[in-house]
Amino acid sequence: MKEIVSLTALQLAHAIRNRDLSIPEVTQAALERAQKDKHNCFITLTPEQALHRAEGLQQRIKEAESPLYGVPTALKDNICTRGIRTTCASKILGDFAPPYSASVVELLANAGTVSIGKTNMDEFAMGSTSETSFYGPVINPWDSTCSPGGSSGGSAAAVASEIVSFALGSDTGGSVRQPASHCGLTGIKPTYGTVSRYGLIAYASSLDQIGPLCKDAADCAAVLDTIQMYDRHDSTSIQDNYGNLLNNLTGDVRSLRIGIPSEFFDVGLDETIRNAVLAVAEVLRSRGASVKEFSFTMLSSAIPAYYMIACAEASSNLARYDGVKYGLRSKEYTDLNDMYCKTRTHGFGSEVKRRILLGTFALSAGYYDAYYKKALQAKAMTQAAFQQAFQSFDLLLTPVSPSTAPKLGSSLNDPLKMYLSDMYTAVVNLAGLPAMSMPCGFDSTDLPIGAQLIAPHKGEGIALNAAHAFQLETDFHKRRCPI
Amino acid sequence: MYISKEILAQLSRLSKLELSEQEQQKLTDELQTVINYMQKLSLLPEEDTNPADHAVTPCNVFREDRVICSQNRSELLLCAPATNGETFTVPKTVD
Repeated sequence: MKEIVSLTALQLAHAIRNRDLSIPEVTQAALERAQKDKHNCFITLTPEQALHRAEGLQQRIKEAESPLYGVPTALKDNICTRGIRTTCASKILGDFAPPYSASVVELLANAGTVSIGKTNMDEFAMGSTSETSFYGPVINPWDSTCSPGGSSGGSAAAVASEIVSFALGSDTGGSVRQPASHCGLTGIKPTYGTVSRYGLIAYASSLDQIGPLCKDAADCAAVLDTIQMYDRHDSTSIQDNYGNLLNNLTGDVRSLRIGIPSEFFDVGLDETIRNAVLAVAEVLRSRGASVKEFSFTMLSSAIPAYYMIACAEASSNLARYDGVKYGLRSKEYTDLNDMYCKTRTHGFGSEVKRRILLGTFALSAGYYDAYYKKALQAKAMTQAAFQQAFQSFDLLLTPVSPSTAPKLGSSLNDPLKMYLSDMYTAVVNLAGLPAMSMPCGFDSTDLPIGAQLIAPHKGEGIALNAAHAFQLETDFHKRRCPI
Repeated sequence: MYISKEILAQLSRLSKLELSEQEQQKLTDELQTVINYMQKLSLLPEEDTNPADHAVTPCNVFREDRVICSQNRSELLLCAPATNGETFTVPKTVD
């Protein structure tokens, strides 16, 4: 059992193709671990469907083409799965079972993966610690007193505790990269528009992207090859040539120009994290990359711009939760308006309410120009700043988070502190660029540290190849949490 | 920018949220702290920068004008808290 759960997704699929392992066997192993899970990774498990599917896939194994065929996985619970409860970790979605599946779910199914369930998260993806869930907080497998990060904390914890070898999360301001960093995983937010958002329950539509959390860069490449595709159901989907990321992983970073934006390493960054991330540069330099520091002046406006835009969009997106078409409807009300108010008041948690109110403020008459419009201007300036940076560099190297995994409960009463922890990641979402997080060290209490690689538009391959090069030289990504 | 009780009351009306006295006090303080921080946006240079709605320039998507079934009615109604078998039902809206 220990050997099965320690494998990466690609190793597992290889063993399945070689008939060393069977799909029902690996699925059963995943389900057994999920059922004993102590980290509250899952909101819903689907053992019957998973085992039935595993049997069917095993019978058709000769038709297997995908490098992920037969591999168990888990899906963040804001990704619609037809007929299977999808809650966004919120009371207001009650027992909502979508009548359709997200495009990424269909793509993973076509590739022969087996979903074993829906993972826990911050409510409506609003949070950085996976503590705002209606179903209770997720616990970091590395330290049971710590949060796994968020909002894709359940997906991160499920991979880190070796229940599944990869999982899908979503990233609006860092919600794949930051929990990947806090849980010792490799995770990637793809270029905006390259992974369909059809079936991803919206938080902030101009920023949301689905991305994988995996054990290494090669697995990330394989998953992205599977889920990156033009989708006519998503009006922001980009037409492009997809599917070559895994094949192009060579580890060759000669002549790669890496930029280190000095503002990301300023006051407030933990010294151990600074040293670990800068050490990544040295490893890549030893493999032929060049490294140079430069100034990126738009970091200080990233959090105000991100939160104004994200909350404004959230206030609009979450207006649909009114008790009419799906989800919770309050039992007692006097009229239609009262039904809306009571449903939303009883159905949403406090962080969601806070962000809806903040977003409503940003869009209100009298404040729109000073806040929302200004935030959109900051977004434009951030995009321009990145474009300028990528004239001189092929990749940017930064920390993922100013600290390692926080203690459970330490952020809940200080929303601004929680928001500021997203600084290094949210700036990337404003520009719609791809960025990934990979393990690069551990702090004095053995909590993982992540380094962020930011690539230019549609430059996932550059980031993945650099991460692959780093992972050929180091073994931080191979360390497993004590279970 | 001072977040008064009246402003919070207006925001909660617009958001269709009811806040208890305790929540009002807590949220007033929290929103004030956050909005004070958002003032950093006013420090940006007064350039003639076009606001960026999108990270990627949107491109209009066309398709053939064909009638296609989008969703099954009965499946959609299964999700709803109250229906009459044909439509969603809600409290009376017009006298």
